[in-house]
Amino acid sequence: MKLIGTICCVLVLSAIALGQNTSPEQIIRRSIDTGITEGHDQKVIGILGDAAAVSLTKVLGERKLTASETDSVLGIVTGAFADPSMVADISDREPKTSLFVLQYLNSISSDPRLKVRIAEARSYILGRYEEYVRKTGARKN
Amino acid sequence: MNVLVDTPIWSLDQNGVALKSSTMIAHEKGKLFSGTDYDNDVGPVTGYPTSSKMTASDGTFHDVPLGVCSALPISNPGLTATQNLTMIMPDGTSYAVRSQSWTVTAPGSGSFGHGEIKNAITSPGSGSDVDKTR
Repeated sequence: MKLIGTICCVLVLSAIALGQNTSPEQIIRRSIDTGITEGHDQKVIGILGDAAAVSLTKVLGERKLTASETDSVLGIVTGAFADPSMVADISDREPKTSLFVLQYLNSISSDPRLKVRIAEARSYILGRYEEYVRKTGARKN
Repeated sequence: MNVLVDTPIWSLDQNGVALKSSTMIAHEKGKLFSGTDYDNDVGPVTGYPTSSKMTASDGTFHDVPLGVCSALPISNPGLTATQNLTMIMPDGTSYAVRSQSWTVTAPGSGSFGHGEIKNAITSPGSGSDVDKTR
């Protein structure tokens, strides 16, 4: 019964994803390439959680990020953790790859102001996750 | 530039009478400012508490966040998106609520942190009832 429930959940979530005409990777790529973020993007990014960071690594590859592009990345990572309880895949409600991406950004950045924004992003997503754990009793992995 | 708004919308029937029901789902379809097609429910959107899957008991719903954030100025005539709003009833039938276009402008270097968003109604009727500047 639990398995059937899980399968149904996955099918419903897949259907939701298919209903969107723009993939998360397309949105992330456009946001970084153009520096333009649409309000609508949050409808897609906001349910990704840690999966947004995985998509980011695919989009970025070995790209050398400018400060503006780094800001776009920070916007995506924080947007994905606005409310972990609404992240579609439960395993993506905990920031792991996201923390790795932020750690990487911090290591390549020499701009003190950018480092502050990276630290704020890290603090934000950890705070959102802690709040989610406190409210739901979800167990940390 | 940065202009995002939270737009409350009232659901009206063909006679202009408010549909006071909390069991309807607001759906939207059109083209984004980037030119990409979209087709999805208006809410819920994470991080925006006024957003919801279903309408409120008075039949209203919020379209949020609506707009654009850009690292560079947006010159005239600006960026335009289209939006066709429908209401999906509990029995699955849907009704057109409104069709409109949205235009965002933020010309010049003085536009950093500022911008304007306004709508142009194409159905029912015409005109504009949202024009926000930041």
